[in-house]
Amino acid sequence: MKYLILGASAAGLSAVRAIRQLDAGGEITVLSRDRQIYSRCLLPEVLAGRKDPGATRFVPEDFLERHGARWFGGVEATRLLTGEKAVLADTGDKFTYHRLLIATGASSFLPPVENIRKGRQVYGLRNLEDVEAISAAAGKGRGAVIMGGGLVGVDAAAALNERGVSVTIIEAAGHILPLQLDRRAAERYQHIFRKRGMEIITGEMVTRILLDGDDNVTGVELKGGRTIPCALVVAAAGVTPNISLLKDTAVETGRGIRVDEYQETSVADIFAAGDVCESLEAFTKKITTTPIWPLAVQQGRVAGWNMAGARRKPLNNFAFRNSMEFYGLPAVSYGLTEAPGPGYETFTRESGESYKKFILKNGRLRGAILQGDITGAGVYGALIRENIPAGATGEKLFGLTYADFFNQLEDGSFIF
Amino acid sequence: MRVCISADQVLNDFLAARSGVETSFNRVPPQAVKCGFGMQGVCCRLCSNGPCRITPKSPRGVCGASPDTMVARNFLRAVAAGAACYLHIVENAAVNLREIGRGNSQLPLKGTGLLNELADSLETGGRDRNEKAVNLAERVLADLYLPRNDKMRLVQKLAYGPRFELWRQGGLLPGGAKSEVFDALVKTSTNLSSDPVDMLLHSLRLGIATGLYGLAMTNKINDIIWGEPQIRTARAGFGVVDPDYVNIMITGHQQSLAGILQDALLSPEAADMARAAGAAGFRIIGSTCVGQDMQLRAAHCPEVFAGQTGNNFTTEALVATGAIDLVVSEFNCTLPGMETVCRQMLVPQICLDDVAKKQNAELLPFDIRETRAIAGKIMRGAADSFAARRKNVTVNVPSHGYDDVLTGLSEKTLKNFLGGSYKPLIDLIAAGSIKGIAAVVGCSNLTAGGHDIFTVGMTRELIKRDIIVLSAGCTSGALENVGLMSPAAAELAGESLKKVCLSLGIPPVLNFGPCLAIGRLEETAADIAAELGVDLPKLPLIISAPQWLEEQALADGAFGLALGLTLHLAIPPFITGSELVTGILTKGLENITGGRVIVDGDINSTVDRLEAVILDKRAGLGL
Amino acid sequence: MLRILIKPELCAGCKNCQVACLAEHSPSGSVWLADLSGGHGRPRNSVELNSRDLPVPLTCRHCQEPECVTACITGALSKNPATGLVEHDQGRCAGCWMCVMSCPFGMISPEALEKKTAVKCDFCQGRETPRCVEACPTGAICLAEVSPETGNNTTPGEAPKEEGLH
Repeated sequence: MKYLILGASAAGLSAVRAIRQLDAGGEITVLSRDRQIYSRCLLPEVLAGRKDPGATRFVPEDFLERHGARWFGGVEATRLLTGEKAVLADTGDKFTYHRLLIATGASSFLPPVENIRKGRQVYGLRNLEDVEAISAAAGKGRGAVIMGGGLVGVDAAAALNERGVSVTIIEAAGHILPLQLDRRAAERYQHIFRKRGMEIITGEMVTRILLDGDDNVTGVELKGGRTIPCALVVAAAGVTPNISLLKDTAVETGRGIRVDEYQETSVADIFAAGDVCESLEAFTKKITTTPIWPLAVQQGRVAGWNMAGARRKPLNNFAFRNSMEFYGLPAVSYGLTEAPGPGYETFTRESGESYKKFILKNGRLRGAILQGDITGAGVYGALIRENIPAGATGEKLFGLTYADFFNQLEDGSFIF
Repeated sequence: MRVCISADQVLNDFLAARSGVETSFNRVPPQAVKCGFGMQGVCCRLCSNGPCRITPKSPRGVCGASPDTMVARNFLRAVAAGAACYLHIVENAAVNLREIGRGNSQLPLKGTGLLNELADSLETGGRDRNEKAVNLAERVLADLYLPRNDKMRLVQKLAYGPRFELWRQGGLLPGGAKSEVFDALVKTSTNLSSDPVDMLLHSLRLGIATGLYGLAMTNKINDIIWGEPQIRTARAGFGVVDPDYVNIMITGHQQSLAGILQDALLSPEAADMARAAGAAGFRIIGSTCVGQDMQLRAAHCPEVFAGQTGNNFTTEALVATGAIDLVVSEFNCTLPGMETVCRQMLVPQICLDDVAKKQNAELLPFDIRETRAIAGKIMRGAADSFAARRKNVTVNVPSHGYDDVLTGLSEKTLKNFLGGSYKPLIDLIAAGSIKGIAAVVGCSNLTAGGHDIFTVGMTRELIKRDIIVLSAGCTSGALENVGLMSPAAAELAGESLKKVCLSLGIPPVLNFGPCLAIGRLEETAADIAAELGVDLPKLPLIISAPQWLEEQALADGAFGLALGLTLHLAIPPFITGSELVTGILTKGLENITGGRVIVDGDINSTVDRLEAVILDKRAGLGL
Repeated sequence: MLRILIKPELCAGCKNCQVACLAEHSPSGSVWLADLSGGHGRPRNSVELNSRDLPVPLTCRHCQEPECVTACITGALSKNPATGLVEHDQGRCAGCWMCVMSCPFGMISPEALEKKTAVKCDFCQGRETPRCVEACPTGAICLAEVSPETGNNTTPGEAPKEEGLH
């Protein structure tokens, strides 16, 4: 069996491992645009100067060797030829397969803003190359504007702030991290950021990037008319799956590559996993992209198993969960951040560093935010994911632990 | 699970062979899991909001008590209970002395020399021996019963001068001893004191009351009643038990109670009773500290006292020999576990004091006016038991112990042995023949390596380094049963100490007897200090209660700290949950009294540290 | 594989398992000297009351398919194929809290002192019997030999032994 895997990040390498669990002899080939294996989630650490690029590898040095996989780094798949079961690469090489996994990830989404493609110092924060470029531009002073106050934007902002760069975040919503946190939790971060010298502008958006004669970024102009001088712009307005190689193929796509619960696409023997795909998400029960690391690993594993001939579904496909930490204040959130309408009960408690919020509907948790004290957060996540009655309301919600749901199998495993 | 072992190999073998008998040694492994909160002293059960325990997520009790408060409260309560035990003993002894003086008892006074001395030195006066006895006893009792804001009157005369001055200046002079105990209970009750420092100072006052009254005064009264110690060679170990006799085992701490058997068992009636039961006579089998006391004064009852068998944790094994016909108890170190063995071996138990009432024992409330009747009942019970049980039990007394144990050492006999002055000892120390003195005292427990393992191991190491060891307490039972109190043990000492021992014909470990004799060690130390013209903390002397067991030991320890001595313990006294309390006891206290605690559970490192203290103090004296 | 089994009905709520865990991971290793007030961090196990106010000892399961390992972005967490233990390499940990977010049982937490990395049960690395098991006076926490084949089967359709990315 010949396996071809496009992408050497969480999903791709997870698939390598899964295939090897079931198929000791198959030929595994990995192509990746990345020239080195690294964890994208650690890029803000590199940007902040806390980690060397070399320390971002998330698998042992000999991982591919140990799993008997060939890896071609710096090789981008450009076209998929489903008919002849082959992939063309930008090197001109052609790679054939019996089973293919597309785990090419996603790229920074560039919103329709004037000059965004023209400006020479407009970057995403997606690849190691981005970090290098941002670092170089940041060294020239005059500050940075972060377009988008989501997780990537705030990560980038905090990292640059830590390096002494003056940073402005522009967020269209009423507060930063609108998908991850409610207003209160976000405000607690905003307060910290502002104390650290960051500027945060909410309810605003960049309409134009100001350039000099050489297309160097000199500032941005906001919808409200205000201009903010800066030397670089980080576009952090979301990601878009890397599916251009699927042009002219029958592989069904929406925003990402549509896959079933076995991570298989509409075309036989072609699988997709990670940020590039879209699937039935467990919390929303909707088909959507699921761009979080744990699901990339899990989907890659499920894809790998199924490519190797097993029929296995994922444990769950729960994408509405986030963890973060800025300036020593950690937070974890799941599901809803605000009650979307009547029929929901909301419970909050704030003391000192700790802020907790739970959203309940019909006795079941639909959302949870834990900021400051995040110990034991996962139990709330499991209740939301598994749609288990919380068995508690009011004050008691704040003290839920697995003791309340204790159930142990004969082998010592816990289950809910 | 492996059974607990003893430093005493014969005892190990004996217990191994008696697999049908369960003793404390068997119960150590199933109790090996200790509560960490208890160990650190940070469990509080003072109110119904508790028990509260200190953890990183719950750093204070519901009431707000910090670990420092919890530890100090628990510690003071333990010291108070321990002090109460010794004060109970001296109270009974004083009452008995008073009643003898008043002519309400037929018991003679065998130590009138000391009575005369004390009537002078303590200025209690009296025209004749009876009045002197009454006066002394009443003065002691009066002090015990004073309210707390009245300082006890005899302290100044009992204490070493420089110490008294330091205590007076430091506010450490105890008020009425019983009131000190009483108010310690008040102080440590729910939501009263939260001040760890005040509670530790209270512990020191309790220590002083314990030492001067509970220990020293008890010794003096017993010396007056039963006769003063005399240095002699005696047998020790289970081997002292002769199965042909009706054997009455005594456990406890109150010779002033158990002593009534001494003369009674020698009476013609006793001889008849024993003969009728088929025995050669009656024997008192010494065990625990009351046995040590009797051993110390055995010159006054050589025929009836068979000898000392061992300490607290050999009592069950002793009953298991089958050769004991009756157990008479009057105080602690009477293990509850002994009751099971007694039932098994068909041994009745009699208690003379309800503070140590055992569940299956008959209580014969002690009354000094009725000593004959009480002794008669005990004899009767023992003889009946002998007659009834001997055909039904197997008697198996192991060959155990030594017959050349040097006993009878006291503050006076040692001095007399040295020629009436401590000068020769000081000269030996000055010359370096003896590096220093280690008082190895207190109890035995089963946790510091096993039964007497630490005590014996540490003592061997100390004498090897030319440090002479004086023992008082269950440590004496341990050390005599492994031969360290026999002259031949000189061979185990370092070269210079060995030379001293051989020339004087003494072992390198001197037997002062029971834990009460810690009071004698204090007087000995004070005498040496006086001879040198220094205060106690200057002496090249350390005190170690390596295998401390109980609350009484903590009260003794508090006395040692008040005396300004360096006190070693192998097991922490349930204080490590408080940085503050631990800090004061192990460091800060040195600036107040000169004393401090060293906690070390390793024999070699302990001896290294103790030796360093001794060398340091020698240097301080210019030696 | 050795696993810690929990019998909540035997738990007396003494928290001795927590003291033992704290001691094991403190500088001296001694229960006498472990800083119960938090100076040596927090225990990695816990005793929590359930909804009926009965104590339940809780400790990491070293899951067959550990979600903490799946969520780990640095490779700090891994499942040791030989022992089946879920191991955490503090040196690689970035403190991203994805594992805290993902463990359904709440068995991995931010280290309480520095709060820079996560900590979890390490099965008292190299110790024959984990300290908590040794310290439990009632047998509520005990060791059992568990066959790796009878995995933690929360996935319909069955999953093989999962060793994470390490």
